[in-house]
Amino acid sequence: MEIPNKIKILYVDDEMNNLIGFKAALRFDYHILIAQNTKEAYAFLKKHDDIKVIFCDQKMPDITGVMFFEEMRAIYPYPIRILLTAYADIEAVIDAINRGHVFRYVKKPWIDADIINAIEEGVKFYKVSSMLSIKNNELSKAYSELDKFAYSVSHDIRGPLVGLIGGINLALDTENVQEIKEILTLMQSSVNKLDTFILNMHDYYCIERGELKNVNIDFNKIADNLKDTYNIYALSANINFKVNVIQTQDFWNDEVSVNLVITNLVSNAFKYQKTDFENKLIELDIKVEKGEAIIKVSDNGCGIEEKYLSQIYNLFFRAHYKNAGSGFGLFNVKSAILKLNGDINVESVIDKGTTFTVIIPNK
Amino acid sequence: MKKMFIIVDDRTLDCFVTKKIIEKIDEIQGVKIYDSAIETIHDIKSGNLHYEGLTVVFLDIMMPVMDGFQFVEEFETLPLNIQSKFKIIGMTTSLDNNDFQKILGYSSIIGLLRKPFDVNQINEILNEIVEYE
Repeated sequence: MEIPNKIKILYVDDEMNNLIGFKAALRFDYHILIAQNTKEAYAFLKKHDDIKVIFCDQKMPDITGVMFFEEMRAIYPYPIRILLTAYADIEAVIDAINRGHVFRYVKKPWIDADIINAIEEGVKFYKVSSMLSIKNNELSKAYSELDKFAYSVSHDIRGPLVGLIGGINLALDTENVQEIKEILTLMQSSVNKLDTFILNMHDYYCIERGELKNVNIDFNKIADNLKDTYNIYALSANINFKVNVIQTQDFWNDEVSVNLVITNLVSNAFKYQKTDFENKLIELDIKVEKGEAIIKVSDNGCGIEEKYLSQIYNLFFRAHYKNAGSGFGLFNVKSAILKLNGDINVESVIDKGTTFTVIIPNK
Repeated sequence: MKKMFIIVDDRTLDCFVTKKIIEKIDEIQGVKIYDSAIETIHDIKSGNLHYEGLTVVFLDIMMPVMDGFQFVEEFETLPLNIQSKFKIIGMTTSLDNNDFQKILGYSSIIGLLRKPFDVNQINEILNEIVEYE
């Protein structure tokens, strides 16, 4: 059984009595792991990646404490290394501290107060240095994402713009009003697509940077808005759009994110229909019960190829070559759901349809 | 002999514009539009695009699902007697020199058009083609 929430300390010493004494004195305040040799110590380090402080005796039969620290530091850089040693070894200790292998040392025989003090200082240092390295990793990840983002966005914005320039050149070149109108119609749909792309990019920004606002959400209202938006289109495209909401209790969460999730999923369901299919059906089912909202959006449209299912939430991934989207939609959906501590699942069969199931907890 | 033309581009507006520009070229047999590279490669393989003379493919590079690169890679695995019937011209909106180099690095791509382009730029590339008997 793991002991939760206590700071994990590893103590390595070849003398069993020392280990037992150490554990007895400190086990109420810390999660103490003891190892009689370095092999056992490595086994603990491998198993517990959250060991924060390691004590090691300098004088052990196979290896000195300093040598062990030097060796383990290359593999496990984060735990704070504290040496236990008698005065006689002081030269080795100074050298080890100066070379950075050891954070500090505690002299033997130790008293509890020295050990506790060393642990507290070590943990503080651990937090700062591991936080820094986590932040650094996050930063370099953010940079490389920014590069990718800038590259993709410049393509996705310039693409339709260049098409528009081409359209304008063509229209200026002809006297035929009918042809100009044809070009304008194509340009209009191109401009609308570009506008959708920019709106999606704005959603992306809001989810990544925006603050969540916890409000009482009325799913019937969200559903009514969707019906207002889609009913006319559904009628003209001959799609049966069924909406069913069962909300028997209050539901609190961020409405903007919840709305974004539902809107995107429904809009995809409308977008990826089989054009010449008779019984087009889209169902939106929302059930709020037992402190969670279960949102199900299903369609009998063109479906997603199985090999793409694992990639559909990736930024700028497009699984459809006809009517391809902005590449933001499902990425935004997934980000929003993660922020809401929710979960999303997809089932899809090509040419049969797709069902997305989202679970969002009440806050 | 007149040349056949194929446009492969997922953007409807771009297909329309490219088609109108191509129609200014002398000696064209016809222009066929595809909005997907998958369908194009399928039709090339199945012989649906068989034409006795030369077919020039205007290939957009950035397309979803199968992009221009994937198209060319698959095209270059086809038997040489099929390949030799087609000449591919890449089309891109990219501003990135690395992209240009990568596109022109394929042996079956005979030229690159940066959108927006006009008929003169097309003719420049077409004039380079040595007609085979």
